[in-house]
Amino acid sequence: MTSASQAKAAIPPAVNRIGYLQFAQRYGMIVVLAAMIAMFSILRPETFPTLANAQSILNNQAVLIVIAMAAMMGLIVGAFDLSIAATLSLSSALVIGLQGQGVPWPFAVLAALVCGGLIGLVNGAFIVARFNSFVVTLATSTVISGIAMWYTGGQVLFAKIDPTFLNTGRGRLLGFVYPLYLTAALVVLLWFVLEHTPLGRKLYATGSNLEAARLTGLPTGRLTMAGLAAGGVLAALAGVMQSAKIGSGQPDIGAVFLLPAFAAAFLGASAIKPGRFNPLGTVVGVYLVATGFTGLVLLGVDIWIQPIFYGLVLLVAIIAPRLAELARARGERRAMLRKVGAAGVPR
Amino acid sequence: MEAEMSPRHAGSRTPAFHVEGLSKSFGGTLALADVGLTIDRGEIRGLAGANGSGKSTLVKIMAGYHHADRVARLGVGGRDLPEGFSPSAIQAAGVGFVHQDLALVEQSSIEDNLAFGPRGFARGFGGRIDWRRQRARAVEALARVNLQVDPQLPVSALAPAERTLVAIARAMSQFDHAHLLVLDEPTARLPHADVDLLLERLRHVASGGTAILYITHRMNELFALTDRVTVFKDGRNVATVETGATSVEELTGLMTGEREPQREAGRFAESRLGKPVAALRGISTGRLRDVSLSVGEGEILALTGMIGSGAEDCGDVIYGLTTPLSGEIVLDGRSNASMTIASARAAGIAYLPSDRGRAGFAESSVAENVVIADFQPVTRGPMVDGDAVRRDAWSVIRDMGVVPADPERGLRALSGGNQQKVLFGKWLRVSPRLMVLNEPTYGVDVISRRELFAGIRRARDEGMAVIWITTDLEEAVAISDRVGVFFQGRLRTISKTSEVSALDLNRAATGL
Repeated sequence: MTSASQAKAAIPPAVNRIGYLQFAQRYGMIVVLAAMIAMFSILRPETFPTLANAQSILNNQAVLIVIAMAAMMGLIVGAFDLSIAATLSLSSALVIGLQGQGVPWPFAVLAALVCGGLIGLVNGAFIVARFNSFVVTLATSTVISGIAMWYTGGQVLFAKIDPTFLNTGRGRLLGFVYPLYLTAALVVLLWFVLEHTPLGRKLYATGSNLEAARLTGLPTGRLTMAGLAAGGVLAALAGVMQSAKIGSGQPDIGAVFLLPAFAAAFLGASAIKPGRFNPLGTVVGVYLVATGFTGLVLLGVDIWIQPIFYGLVLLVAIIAPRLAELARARGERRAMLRKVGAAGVPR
Repeated sequence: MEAEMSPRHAGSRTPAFHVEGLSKSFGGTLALADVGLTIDRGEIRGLAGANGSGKSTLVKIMAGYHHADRVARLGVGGRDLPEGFSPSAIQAAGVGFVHQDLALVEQSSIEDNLAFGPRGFARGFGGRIDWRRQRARAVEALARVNLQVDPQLPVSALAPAERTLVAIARAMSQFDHAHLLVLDEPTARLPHADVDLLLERLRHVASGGTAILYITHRMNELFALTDRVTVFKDGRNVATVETGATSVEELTGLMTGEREPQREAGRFAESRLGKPVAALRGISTGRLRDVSLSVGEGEILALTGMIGSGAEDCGDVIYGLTTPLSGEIVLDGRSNASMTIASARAAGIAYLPSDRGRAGFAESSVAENVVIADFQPVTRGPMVDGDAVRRDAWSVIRDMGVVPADPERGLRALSGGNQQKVLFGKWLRVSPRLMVLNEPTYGVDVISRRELFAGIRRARDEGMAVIWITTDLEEAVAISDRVGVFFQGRLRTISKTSEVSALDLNRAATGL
């Protein structure tokens, strides 16, 4: 119908103009992050702006980033996957427990990831059948936690761990732990798939309007399953990384990650690609909070400040875009009225 | 402000509503520019204009939903509101509203619905509901619209027109005297036969002294009901004319700003029925009874009938949204017992649902909405090519005349008509063999409608088969090469459009 060649002639050049408000929306969090680094560097010049501190902040967040990606994958296809925390726990127990039973560590890792993927598929099957994702994953989450308890007997597992496996979690290259490189590669991969491939666009479409996606002919069932399976694998990977980091498998280690993971995903939806869950934004969200928290600790603030800080940042992140929107509308209205006034309308 | 007088109410010059110097802008667009409007007591005033002409903005300001940027003077029942009045003061002064979706709670009784308003329930001792007084109020309210039903029935038991009447009764019962009643496209979802009933009741309401502001895209209703018609264009009140002294051409001209209004392109003279693309043979569903029809290359087949007649079910069967109980769907000579969306898409069928909320991704950009149906042409290796996406989006924007012409604009920011153009263009881009459109002009202004008509005719001329489903008989006649009429699940007639009149169709659609 509309052939490509005939259309070529009349395309205006791609315009990449973005207003300062749009810039603030996209990169505001990065600016805040930079300001925070500058502020803490001035306040604590001996401890904050050091290579060791920077490495520690970057190194420590790898697991949180991966589990936040897991939460994000569900959210992109329109599902709340609460089971990611339990999946992390089970995977953490499994990867250590299997090694204890004599399974070589690469196979133990593989088994844990497959297990996470299967959990995602089960969740996905229920959600495709139009059960509420929140309730479904709440239920499966409870079941998975029970299985993890049964598998470990409620104990922390640390017997017969392959030193090579531990090294994958603790080894460093150029001062950064290996998992950080893996995480960075994952983020880039996810960013590429989600932003630049048809699969990514279709995943977003499924989450933003399921019925429209279905009527357009997209395989919404498979896309939903894919999103949740990817989330399950990522959650399991986070569990493997956590086990390698701490050198043990713990059946309840995931719980502390659940809310920060979702907070980071939502925080990420207000940066880089505002209004959309996206990997780069999520990473920025994680480090914004981590930097703020570390800085506050170095200033001598107590540990309980972390959850409060997290919560407040999240609130600001959702309020700020709305304020920006209001400011923009007010500015344009004033401009319009000036125009009307110039056209001779009585005041 | 306005010098004209309504013949019927020439004696009583008390305005029911008046406003002067009203301006309002949203974002970068001026929605209302120095608008003035005076409606007399008991007058029925039509308000016409293309989508985005400012009609809805005016209504929303009157309803207190938006705050005017500037207003010189505004009053209800002849009395000016004090300066700096609050947005809700207009409504409170005696203006009732019936919005398109009616806002009735279907499971609740009629009398409950009547009480769901600012006035609330009639209260007795200790705050309990005084049911005796409440019932009396309900009966009185229903009498004003001449509706005789048991107030204890749930709203869901009523016919569509009766529901509209309940909404009108509720709007009026909020005041001792409602000066003005505002109706926003009240017939948009109404079966053809119910429209006359509603119009008659509205005349009854006006004879009681309540003025009516009637907003519609439908010309025939303006002429059947109103005393005068005000035309908005680009946020301005461009004219108010006596209904008896104007014509469809004049009103269309005022709305479009063209001196010589273009008539809709002449009807397709001879059906050039090509190779059949799709056929239904003896299809029955929960609603359809033994329906057989076929559509060929290069033809527009309109399916029409009252709401619930079965016309739209045919589209659902072909696109795999409904599984037939019996019969077969024949595509390219192969018969299928039922379809799925996937098999329909594979066979080159596209489907535009009546509800744009089900068709478009409101949060996504125009470009994303355009390419979502097929990524093949815009993919280079594993990657979606941004330039190719923009190119395809631009060709849809240009071919369909989408305004504003900005592929990065969110779909939500476009008017209904322009959204429909984007969604229509999205399907044309994949060159379907058959396109099924369900109520494609619902909520679409006259100009966009003409562009949609032109677009579909172009596609038809290039060989696409079209099934155009509409409850609007005149539209069915205006667009189609052949037309089929449904009544109670059966295909009553199917014939060349050039050989039938709207009157014939009307008879078939109402079972005569």
